[in-house]
Amino acid sequence: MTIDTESGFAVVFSVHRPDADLVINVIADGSAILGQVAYRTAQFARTLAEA
Amino acid sequence: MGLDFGQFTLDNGDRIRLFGTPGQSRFDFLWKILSKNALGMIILADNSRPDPLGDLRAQYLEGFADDLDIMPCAIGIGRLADHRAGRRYINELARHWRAAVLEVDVRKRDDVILLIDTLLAQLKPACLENKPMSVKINLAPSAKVIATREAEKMLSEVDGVTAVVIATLDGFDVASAMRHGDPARVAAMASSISAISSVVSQEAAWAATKA
Repeated sequence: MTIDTESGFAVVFSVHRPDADLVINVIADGSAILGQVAYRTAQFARTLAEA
Repeated sequence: MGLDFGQFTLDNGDRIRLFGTPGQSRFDFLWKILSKNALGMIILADNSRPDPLGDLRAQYLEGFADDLDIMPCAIGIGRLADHRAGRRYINELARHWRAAVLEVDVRKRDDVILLIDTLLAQLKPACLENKPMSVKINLAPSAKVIATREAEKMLSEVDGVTAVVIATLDGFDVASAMRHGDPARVAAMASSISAISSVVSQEAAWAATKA
């Protein structure tokens, strides 16, 4: 999920693990590139799900 | 109008999170989301409305009836000075519900603190009986280490990222990397937004089926 904020945007991504369901929240300012942040967040989610 | 959030820390170190929800009935789907796992509730009523007692009874107290069976409540009545209703509130509420009723002016800090104190005073015995004040998070220690490391990596490598917070579904932060701010607040707000999005998705799916 992507949310517009006053100074940029936030990306919220769920992570399903056997021991806990988590949420990754990334806040970015106007200089960030949405696609890059979304890609890295998805990558982070995969790493955390498999950890 | 919208979702409000605030947080303060008690003298013993416990953190209290306050969520404010709009009172209009079209936002009642939010009430159920926010009251889930809540420790207590404060309801603010506007005495200048045409039927303030009716609003309180029909909209809020019946809307939250299930929740009020299991959690303490404090009711703040505003604008009593201009539109005296006397003991009508107290008498009516005492007949049906157990809740502390106070006259408040929400623009005055002392009145708001008194309202919160009134709720907290009811809260402590209830918490001791039913709900632990601390939350146990079952995340594997190795996962927490990885989460912290990856959060710091993302903060340093991705241009424009100012905060990375990993949280549980009910809004408790487990790892974070931030340039500034409070990870607990980010975690709490994000869990509320996720819950609202889930309801919107469900409503949209229902609407599509109906169509």
